[in-house]
Amino acid sequence: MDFCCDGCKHVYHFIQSCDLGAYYRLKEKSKRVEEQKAREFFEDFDHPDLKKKYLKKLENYFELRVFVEGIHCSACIWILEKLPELVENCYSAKLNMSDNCLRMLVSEEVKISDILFYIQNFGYKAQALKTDEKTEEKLKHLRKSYLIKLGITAALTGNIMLMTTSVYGGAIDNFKDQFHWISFFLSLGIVFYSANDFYKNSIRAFKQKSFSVDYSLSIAIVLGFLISTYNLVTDGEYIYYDSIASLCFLILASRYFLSYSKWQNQLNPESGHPLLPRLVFSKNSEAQWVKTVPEKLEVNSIIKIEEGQRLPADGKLLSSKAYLDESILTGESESIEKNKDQEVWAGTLNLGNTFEYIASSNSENSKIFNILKESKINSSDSYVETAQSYAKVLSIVSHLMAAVALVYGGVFMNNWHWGFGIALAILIISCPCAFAIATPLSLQRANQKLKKLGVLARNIEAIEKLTSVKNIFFDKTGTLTEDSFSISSFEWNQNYDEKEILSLASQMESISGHPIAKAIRLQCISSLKQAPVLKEMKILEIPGLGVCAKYLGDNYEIKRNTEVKETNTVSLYKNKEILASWTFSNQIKNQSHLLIEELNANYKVHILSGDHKKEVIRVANALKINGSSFAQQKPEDKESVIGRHNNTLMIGDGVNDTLALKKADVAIATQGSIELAFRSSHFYLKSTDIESVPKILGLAKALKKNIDSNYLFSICFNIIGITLAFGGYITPLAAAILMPISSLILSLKSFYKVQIPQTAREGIWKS
Amino acid sequence: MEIISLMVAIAMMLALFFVIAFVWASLNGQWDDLETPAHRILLEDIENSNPSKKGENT
Repeated sequence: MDFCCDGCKHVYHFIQSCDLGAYYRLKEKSKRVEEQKAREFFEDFDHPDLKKKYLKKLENYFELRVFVEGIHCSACIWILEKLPELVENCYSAKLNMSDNCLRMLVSEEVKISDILFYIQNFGYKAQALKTDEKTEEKLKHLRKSYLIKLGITAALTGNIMLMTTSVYGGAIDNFKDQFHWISFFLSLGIVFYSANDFYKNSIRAFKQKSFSVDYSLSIAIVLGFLISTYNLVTDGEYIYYDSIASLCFLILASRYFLSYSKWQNQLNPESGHPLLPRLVFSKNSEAQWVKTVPEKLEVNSIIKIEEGQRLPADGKLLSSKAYLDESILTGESESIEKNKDQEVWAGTLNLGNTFEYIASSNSENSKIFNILKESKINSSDSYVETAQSYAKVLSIVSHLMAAVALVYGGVFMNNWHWGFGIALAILIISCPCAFAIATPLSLQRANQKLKKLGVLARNIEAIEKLTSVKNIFFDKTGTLTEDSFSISSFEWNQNYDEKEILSLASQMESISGHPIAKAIRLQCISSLKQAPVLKEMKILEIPGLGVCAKYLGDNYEIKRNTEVKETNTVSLYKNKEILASWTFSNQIKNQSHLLIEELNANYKVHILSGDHKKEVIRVANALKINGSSFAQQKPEDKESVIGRHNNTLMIGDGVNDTLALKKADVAIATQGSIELAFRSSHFYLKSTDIESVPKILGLAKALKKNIDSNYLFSICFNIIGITLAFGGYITPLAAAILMPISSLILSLKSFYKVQIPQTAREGIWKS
Repeated sequence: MEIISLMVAIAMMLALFFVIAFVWASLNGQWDDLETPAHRILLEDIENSNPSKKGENT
């Protein structure tokens, strides 16, 4: 035998020496089956109708984007960018680590399945992204034009500053005029190009009779420019081109930062319906089965659903029997028997054999779709909103003060120039842009930190709500516990021989691919130390129910034990008599213990689960949660439990907790498809590793603290600044210098203060 | 002192040049991805360090 390394060789010999050689056969077999399944799953993507949704037409090629999870180092880039050498009709691949997106240039004949298959086999999770050309193109264009505007404004401002500095430095006569005229020409760019968004916003706000910070900006810039130009022509001394340029630049920069944090994470989560199959068989007009995309189904289409597929539309069953998992609607994961003419729902999973049904709705009007539509979250930018209302008050005050100064100077002192100077100084120094920069910068910084933790934020502003969280709800399965089942206890009828029972069970379960069957078989084999072969046995799997067999004239069955209600128990029956029972439970994740211990200190932690009471209590006790545990909760129950508490944080998987996630004040989705999670949650953990939850909470607190102190700083600065300016102690230039300095202080502060706090545990490790 | 006028003119030309360069770079997607190239630059070493090429170099 060939081994890749000594390590594998040692492990192989060790396992053989323990008589556990069957492991390799099982492993090899299950690996092959899985590979085959993955292939089949991906092949759907090669359907022409479906392909169209993923390929974006460029000039000569098509672009395909794949969201790749699990990228961490340069080797990942290297291997993923080697794809064109492996896949035909794929010409280039470029990975972008900042949005985890692999962009490929392909031709129309490319097999998307090949690409996904390779990525999957490299060890990453791949999701092809649908193209939504309109919004994407618009966004890209907007982003670029904004950046260009910012760059040009920076150049103009820098050069105006350069000119003006020489004047302040003592340039006189000719030079002074020359420099001022250059400033004048440069600032034409500022007034007519850089600032035009401010005018547009002001006009729009004026038409809607609402307030906008852009009023004061527009006034300051236009007024500043007019006075300066008047003074330039009449040889006056009040020239403020530098002030208006730097004002304009800083505001643009702050807005760029704000938009930038929104532009990131734009993976177009609204498109696509992850709960629907990508392709289904439906009968065409010539009564032939053809593969179709769900969107093309109509009422009365006849649809064929294979085992393990989800239904694309609501409808009525045509086949005589079907077994469905309706957990997506009910939250209970068990097989439900449906008879002919009974209603079936879109999104439910076929556990049994292939069946046919007739659609009574198209995908868009199905029940699950309507739930999803409801659960779209409303985003509120509360940090930014508060900042805006603060800015509003501030600019009303400063405008009043400026008007008073102007009138006072003009009418009472008979010196309009002096009045203008003071008014302009007040307008500039009280410009809310120090604040307008610091808030978005803090948020963006927080977003960066979240990304490092592997957390994607749908709207980063939701992080504010995290600071007021008091009740934390955890979904159990898949969040606190492992997703897969493990056997927690095994009992057998003492009248029989244990070995005999184990051989029977092992043989029977060998034909089933169900996770429970696999677990039972593995347990049997490991206690028998070999895979038994009982030749005369005839076995039949009843999908969704269990396995039955005939052996030496007796009937055997392995199925769910319906008499035991509190736990998940599966029993082996011999002619209706119980021979053995296996009780299943989900294993608690290792990190759950530490996580709960950490959270218990500051929050009330609850468990919210659809599982049996006994199992939930077992987990609750094992983890020592300090709140309540709610068992046997349907999705609607979960929603109402959350509704009864205040300041809630829900952590669950994105599929059957959708309603609860949406109801909670803040929601973190831990698994499921990213598209689905973003419909209902604010945050999405890229891995199922929930350890980062306390860190997210800590980061939220650091952010809030930083923003609060920014307010304090800004209020003090403005009170002092306006007072001094009103008294004539601050010229417009001093104001234009002080204002950016205050912005800089706040920006630097935001940059360094918004950090993920160390947890107590890490502190110990490091010290 | 006339030299200053000339220098100012040159400075302005320089500024204009850089602004054009910036706009050109932006339109060509220079700032689209700020993270990956930092890693990618390390990869060229891997590519070049395969044994056959090493032989040539020495």
